[in-house]
Amino acid sequence: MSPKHVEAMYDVVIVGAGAAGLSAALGMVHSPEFAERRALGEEPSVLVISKLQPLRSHTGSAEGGIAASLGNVEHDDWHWHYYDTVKGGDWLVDQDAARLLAQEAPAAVINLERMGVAFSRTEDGHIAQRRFGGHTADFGQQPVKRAAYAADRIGHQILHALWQQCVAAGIAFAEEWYVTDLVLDEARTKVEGVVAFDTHTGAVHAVHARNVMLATGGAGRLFHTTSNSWDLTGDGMALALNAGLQLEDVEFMQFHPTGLAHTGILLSEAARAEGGVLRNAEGEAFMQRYAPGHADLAARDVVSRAIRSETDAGRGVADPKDPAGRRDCVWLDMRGIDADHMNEVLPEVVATIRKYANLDPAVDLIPVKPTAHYTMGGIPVTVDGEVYRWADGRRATVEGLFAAGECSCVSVHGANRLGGNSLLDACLFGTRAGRSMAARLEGAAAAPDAGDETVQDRVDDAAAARRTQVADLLAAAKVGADADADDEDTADGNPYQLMAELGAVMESALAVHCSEDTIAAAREDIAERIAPQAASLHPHSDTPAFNQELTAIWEVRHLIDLGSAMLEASDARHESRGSLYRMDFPARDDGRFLAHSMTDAEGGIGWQPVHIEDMPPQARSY
Amino acid sequence: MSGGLENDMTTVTLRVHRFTPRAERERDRARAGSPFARKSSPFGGDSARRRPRGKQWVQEYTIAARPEDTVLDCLLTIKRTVDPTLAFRYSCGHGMCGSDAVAINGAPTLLCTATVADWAKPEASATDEEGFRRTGGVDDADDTDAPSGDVPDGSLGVIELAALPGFPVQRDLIADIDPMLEQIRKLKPYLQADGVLATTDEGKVDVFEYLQHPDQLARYELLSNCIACGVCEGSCPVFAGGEAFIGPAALITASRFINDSRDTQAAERMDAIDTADGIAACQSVRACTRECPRGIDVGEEIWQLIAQVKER
Repeated sequence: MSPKHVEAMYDVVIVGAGAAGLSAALGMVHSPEFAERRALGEEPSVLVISKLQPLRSHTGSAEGGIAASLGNVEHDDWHWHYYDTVKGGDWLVDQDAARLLAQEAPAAVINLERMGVAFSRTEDGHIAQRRFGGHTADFGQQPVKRAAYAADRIGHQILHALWQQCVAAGIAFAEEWYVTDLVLDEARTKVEGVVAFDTHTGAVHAVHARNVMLATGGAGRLFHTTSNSWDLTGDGMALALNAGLQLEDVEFMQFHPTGLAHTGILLSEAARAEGGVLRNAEGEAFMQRYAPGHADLAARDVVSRAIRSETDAGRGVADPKDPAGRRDCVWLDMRGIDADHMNEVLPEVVATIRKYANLDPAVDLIPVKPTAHYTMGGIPVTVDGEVYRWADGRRATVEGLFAAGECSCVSVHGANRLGGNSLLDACLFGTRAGRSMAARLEGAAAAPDAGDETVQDRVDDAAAARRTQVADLLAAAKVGADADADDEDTADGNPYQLMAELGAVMESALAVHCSEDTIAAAREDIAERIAPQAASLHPHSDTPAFNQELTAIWEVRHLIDLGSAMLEASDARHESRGSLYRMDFPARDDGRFLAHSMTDAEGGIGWQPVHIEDMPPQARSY
Repeated sequence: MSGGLENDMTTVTLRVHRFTPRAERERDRARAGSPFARKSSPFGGDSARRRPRGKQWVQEYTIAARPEDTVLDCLLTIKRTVDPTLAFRYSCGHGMCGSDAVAINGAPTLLCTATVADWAKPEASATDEEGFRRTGGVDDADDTDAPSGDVPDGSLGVIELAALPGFPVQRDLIADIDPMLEQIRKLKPYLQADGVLATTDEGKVDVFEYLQHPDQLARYELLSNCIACGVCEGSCPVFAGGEAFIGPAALITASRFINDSRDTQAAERMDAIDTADGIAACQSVRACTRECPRGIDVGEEIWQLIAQVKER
């Protein structure tokens, strides 16, 4: 569905229609300010732009749960959730943000339930909760059941309930539109709008807006093995970089320990929460050795590194589908889980294993391997969702620009995210960003933008430049098609192939561990081989409608911009913390690096101190 | 990753029904319940939808593939190594997002859950001698057809791909499923609960979840797993055949809320579907059940829904 026409000026444009974007839309329309505008007969103009149909958003693939200290099954306390989040993030967490996250989590989850989410239930009818890695009682004493769940398809339930409520609220969508540019004023102090490409028609639209929110999700597609959908190409983060903004802590990429062998498809942490055990080639349940007490439910970075240590030490196993291949997997042993219980609480995990590995988890050992899963860093935002630049030792907010969800970094995840905290972050801070935008609605009406014809319209200019680029690319397709017949050696790149090559480069440079040498090799490879190829890409069909190759060209360029920033930030951090393990700097260094990296498109890096409020850094052990 | 044909590698041939739209100045954006609807429906909007014009052709791609590869794997290999212009929707790649419903050998199903082993047919069996497409599909593999892998040249066979039936084709394997989403939207697909907040022992308002017993959840949980992929719609001879019918997907969504103990609008919801183009249009063919990727017995659920509506 697309808007019939594009308004001259929107009050609010939200880019992305997953948990964060839809929560923001609902947070806004359910706010008192919005109701006030409506009561005055002024319907604020709101548009949600997404490159997918909203129900296809990757939120729908989240499996295990959403964390909140509801205490429905066991006694729980938000202070413990707060502590676990800070510790899980290896103290690179802004504690004011994490406190809000833990404190407001129960209300956020109850709000989701009241919007229709079909949570699993306890016998007395309350929302059911299960254990999840890193979530504990009494400040790290023992595991606690904190993850509210809906079998193992909580993301699907949340995505659909949020979309359904947006239908009820009459939210307008522009579906399968790809945003190519974020436009700020010249001083980068204020947002002016976005440029969007309608993939259905090939039309480029200048979308002027008083408020823009980025909620485009993560960037797992930077890596060859990833649990992320094909669409998680880091678009929002790249848009911010290219608009002259920075990314915070972008060197922290979580590798989920249990990707299904070489597919990368996620097997939920719930598989281990319900009793699954990791074993090496010798059959040893090795996690007990790496994280006594927590074993298989230690934090994800700890488990991923342990798997890598085992495979590096020659105790890995090969994917049975490729017996002669690299022994870079370990076994997930689910045979100890009662088969009926397994089918009841882990139906998706069981189905995925049957379908994509042709194995039966009740009988067979399952090959698993760490898979790129979550981007902890992203566009820097305040707890109210405002995007800022870090300059001269202070946060300079960009007026009217907001972000939430995986593309953003409010810094509740620090150097490593706990399971169950991502949906919570997206829903909770998405809602907060929506309310922040609602609070700006009144001011917007008071300040008409019309008038001065001499002022340069930067959104129109950016759209015109993009239109020219589209025309040039499509013209190149026509020339290419004519030349193809007799010219086999035309330099003829393919964006899908290039994306795969970039994924391999990034994987060998940064997956699970890295060093100055691996980073340097990847930078050189990107600069000398990948980037020049990306610059010369053109589509091979000159039909603008549903020209997926055109979008793929922009996506691969976005991934290169983002990957380069990730390499720069990884290089600059001379320590190991959370998901970032530098083989050449294996220890955490709070003296120098208890700080957020702030990386711009030129590779310039600033350091912003971490907000330490209640909990001074401690050693992190599981 | 290479699409090149290596000696020890088996191959598969994908026969793809392609379509490229002709550029149109002003596209008619009206949405009809079905592209071929003969009569208007309160669920489908009234202006008949024009079929897009453009170039249609059939293209064959033969690539290296293993029996356990999914059809989506094969199409991505084609995009990467043979033809980047081939258009099809895909996203999560493991059956959760619902974006990649197409017709495989004529049967609506998801690209990412269909394997070469299940769907490749020896060339001769794609049509019979009169040129009719075989019916039956995956379940009748025990007939005279040689099973995959036995063909001397290493070919696993042919898979025929077309856009999801019952919806206008937009490009190659991409169909316009907005008519389905419009129909779902018309039936108020959102929880309408009483909104009452629970109170504490002292009588203070306490923000609290609606209570729901596991047995009450079980009455609609499976229905709530629908991913709106459109497979049931493309399989339905009434819907895909062009009759005015709200379609199985919208009915499943309606039933999901009718059977949710938290929802207060069951009676109104039943009224809304108790119409000629609602449940009365269902012919109980039950083709909708066959390939549901979420394991919903769509036909049986609609049968139960009809009984529920009639017995009010």
